[in-house]
Amino acid sequence: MNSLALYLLRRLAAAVLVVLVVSFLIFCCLYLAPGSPEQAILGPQQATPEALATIRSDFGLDDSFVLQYWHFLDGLLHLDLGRSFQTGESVGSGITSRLGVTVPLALGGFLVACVLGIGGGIIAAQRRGRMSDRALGTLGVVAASTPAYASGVLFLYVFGVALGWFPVSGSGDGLSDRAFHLVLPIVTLGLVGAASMFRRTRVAVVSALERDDVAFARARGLSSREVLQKYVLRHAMVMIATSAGVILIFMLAGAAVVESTFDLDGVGSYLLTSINDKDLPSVQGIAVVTTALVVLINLAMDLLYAVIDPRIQRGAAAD
Amino acid sequence: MGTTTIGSVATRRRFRVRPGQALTALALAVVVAALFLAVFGEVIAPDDPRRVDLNAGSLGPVSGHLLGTDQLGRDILSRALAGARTAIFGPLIIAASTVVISTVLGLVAGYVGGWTDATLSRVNDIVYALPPLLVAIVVVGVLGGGFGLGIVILVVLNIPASFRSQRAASLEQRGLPYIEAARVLGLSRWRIMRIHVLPNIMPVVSSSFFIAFTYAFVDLSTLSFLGLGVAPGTPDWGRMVAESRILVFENPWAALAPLLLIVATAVSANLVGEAVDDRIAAKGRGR
Repeated sequence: MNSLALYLLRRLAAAVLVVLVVSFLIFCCLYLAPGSPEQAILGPQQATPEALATIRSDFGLDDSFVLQYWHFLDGLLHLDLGRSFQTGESVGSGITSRLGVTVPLALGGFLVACVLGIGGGIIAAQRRGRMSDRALGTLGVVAASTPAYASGVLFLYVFGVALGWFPVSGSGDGLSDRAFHLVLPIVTLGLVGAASMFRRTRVAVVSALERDDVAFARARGLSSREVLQKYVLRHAMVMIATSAGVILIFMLAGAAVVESTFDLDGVGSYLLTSINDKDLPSVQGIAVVTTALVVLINLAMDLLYAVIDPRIQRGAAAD
Repeated sequence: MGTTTIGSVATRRRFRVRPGQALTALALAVVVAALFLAVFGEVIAPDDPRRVDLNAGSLGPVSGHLLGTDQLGRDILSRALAGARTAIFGPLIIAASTVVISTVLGLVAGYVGGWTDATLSRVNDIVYALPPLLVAIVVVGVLGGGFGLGIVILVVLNIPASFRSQRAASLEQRGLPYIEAARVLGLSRWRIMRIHVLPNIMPVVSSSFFIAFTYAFVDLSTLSFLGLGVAPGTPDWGRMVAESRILVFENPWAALAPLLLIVATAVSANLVGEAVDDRIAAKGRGR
């Protein structure tokens, strides 16, 4: 147990290091970005030299590169991500106020991906080589190769415009209206993840089905349901969990695309607007928060394996 | 009598067209057609895909404009035909560069091993952990590089997956007797890698190419859809969907035509890639 705590501590330290490195790289990127932010803030009409100078000193843009980065890190320590160039509002509250769209979207998409992907993968693996397996496989290829924005616009046209079942844009007010507005985006996001989940689950279950102990369990006369739950899924679980982590991370990028396809006001579309507006503090804040999320998901997944498969825990403690 | 039965079974199997094969043939036809459009699309377009005619904006299908026009009155059919160029050549360049670089690195890492392998693999793991589309959106968006930078970034982000398969395949070859024989004969490492290992990992290389193409196609067109890829005004499938999706009421074809071309091309390229994989795997079993 002690070695596990040590392992956890080391992983957390590595996670902090990754966030630091990424924040530095993004900072360099923003520093090198063409055009000056104060011009972007003021626009061509009001850009008098005095006004530009005020803005420069206001946002600390005259400070040296190192000092600017230091200010950012200092703010980060106090959970302050700085102020938006465009609106002047705090980047942190800009992100949290949009989580009401992005979190349900990403989690809903993740759920759809897991249910369709894992369910379809198990069915296809059990019927491998048969017609239904091949049909599911082809459906998987279609879902995997269709970009999220393409299926999104297609769904908007078919279910929003042609059939008129769902709203065409906006995030909706109130809980039920919001949920109603999020149905098509969640399905769009979920389908892309489902394709990859399906493929990985099928491979994992097929290889589990070929194991000797599974054949032996079947020979002992256990029902196929028992064989599946007690043997096959146990073996396939580690690989399925790994895929789930990958899918969850994918949902972050997918959410940005889906939000801008459906005109939702979430963190992803906030990132894209900030990029277009050259709103550097916002871009940096969202990027750092996203990096931290990605690192945390990876860490949580590694810990989950240790719970699913105790052999990994011993391996981690050994190295 | 036994032989005749076997013979007739074999004949029947050879001549019956399975639904899978028909699908593969269709996919191959779509891929060939898409490649044709990428080269000649702009030539066979009935109208200049860039010509703006504000008097004929947002039209539904009419004579002279088979698929109607967009807000600026540009002919959708012509733009859809010409838009194949960036939508297909971009990913082709990405897939080719990705596969060439990752094969060289994978061969070296897998065959040479030791510190070289450890270093390459560690760097690879770091890049592999990045979510490609998100990184591409931020880097291309902030630096404003457009299509060219998008291609470079997507090559870098697509290398890790491909590197892993090529490295694993080379590693597998390294332990085989024929490599040992070549080494005993005194051949140099480069010669062994180039003449002996490379041909034997070609199946993995070809499979990587199709996988990289599909990912690059999806990601690059997404960048264009988000306005971060091709320059404004360029006829490009991804950009057309973005520009015309507000026209779903006036002229749905303005968004649907490029959209269906994107889906058909991506699905077909993926199916052809799978068929090539299957054929190589079947050949391997027969040997």
